Amino acid sequence: MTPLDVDSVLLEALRQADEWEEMGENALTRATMARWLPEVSNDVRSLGLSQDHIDVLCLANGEVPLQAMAMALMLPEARVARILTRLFELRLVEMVDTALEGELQQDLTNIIIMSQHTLAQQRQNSAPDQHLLGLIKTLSQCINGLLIHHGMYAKALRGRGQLPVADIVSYLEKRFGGSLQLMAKQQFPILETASFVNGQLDCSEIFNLDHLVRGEQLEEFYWEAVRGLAVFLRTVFTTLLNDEVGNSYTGRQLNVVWKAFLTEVDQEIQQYQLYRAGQNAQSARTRFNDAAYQGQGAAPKDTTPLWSSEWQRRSI
Amino acid sequence: MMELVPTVLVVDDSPTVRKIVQMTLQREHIRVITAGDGLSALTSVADEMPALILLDIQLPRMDGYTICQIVRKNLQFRAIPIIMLSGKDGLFDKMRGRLAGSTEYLTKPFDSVELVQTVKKHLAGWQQRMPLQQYEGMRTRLRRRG
Repeated sequence: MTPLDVDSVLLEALRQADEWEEMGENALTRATMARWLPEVSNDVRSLGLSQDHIDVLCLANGEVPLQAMAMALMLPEARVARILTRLFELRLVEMVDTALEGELQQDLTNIIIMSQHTLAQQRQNSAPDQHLLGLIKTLSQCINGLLIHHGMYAKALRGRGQLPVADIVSYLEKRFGGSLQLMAKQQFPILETASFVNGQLDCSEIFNLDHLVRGEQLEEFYWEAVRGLAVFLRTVFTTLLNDEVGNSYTGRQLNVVWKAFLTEVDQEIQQYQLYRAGQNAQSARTRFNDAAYQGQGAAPKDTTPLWSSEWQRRSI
Repeated sequence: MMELVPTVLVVDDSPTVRKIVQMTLQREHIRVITAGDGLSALTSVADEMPALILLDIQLPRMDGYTICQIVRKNLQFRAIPIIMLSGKDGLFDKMRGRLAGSTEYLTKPFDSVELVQTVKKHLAGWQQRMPLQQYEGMRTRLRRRG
């Protein structure tokens, strides 16, 4: 390998220093990384961008620093910085704060670890109603963990210094309260008993349902709450991840971990579905046998059919 | 020239834990392989000769204590540090882990920073612990790839 000429190195350093000086006041540095905004849906060709702009845009995947872009495209760094600033103004890219993303990734990871641990702990419940209650507690704990996290890292709350708690609470309620109400209204009426208190989902009324109802009815309520909270949990995570890290490498990695966790939650839900299907089959068989014994020859008209659509849906 | 990176074997029946540990350690430039049960874990130990093992206790087909004892009895693998990663946090469980031959015991739910620190602590000097034959084999593989 031929050693570099000292004069050339110094001249190149001076050239770069001059270029950056010409740039004036600029928040960008050589290590700045940018990535496409997830909201961009229109055709970027219609914006009249030059080939250089398009090349830089193609490399703005949140993993390539400005310096590397300049090297790859054989453009001066200052020019790449100007192009990135323009793309930022056009709302085509956002600047990545790697330190913040590392921190939020760590925080989200810890929430998932904690939720997985709670989920594993509640597996020890042998009674079906306790199993469901355990799932409700796990899901609500996970939702609340995510809400606390979003209160710290939401894009809309960043860069505004130490915010009053009331502002964070009102932001969270505005962001997620609507979807909870809609779900309660359209699909899972039990969620009407859950509400937002100080930016946290309060499910205490669901936890204390056993003081009001018992047996099959209690199980039925718990089951609806589990399904509702599982859907709400998905909504919260998707919204949060899209807002905080968008379509980034960090976002994709967190999504993989999240899907693994959801698979475990779904397995727990399926376990109860199988139990329920078995229960239904058993009771239907008993009714059929009773009817046959009494010489009626067929199942009574008011019983649920053994392979009703509801039963099949739940056993899949 | 390609850099030699240590390999960590993560043994846990939970896919979430496997993925989380994988993601966390890969960020630190550590290669991660995973196993979901005891027997696959032993196969991976023999095939890959990891620099460190993160081992859960409750596993399908063979529990963590047994795996730990098997690894410790084998001359080729006995120097591999084993970190037990378990939801059981009682003194009895920790003692049992230590008796089975674990190097360290981490309790779930673990903190990702603590996990990285512990893994790095035990990975220090991993190349010295690696038998020469294995080290050469790894270098050859890397040369072929690079």
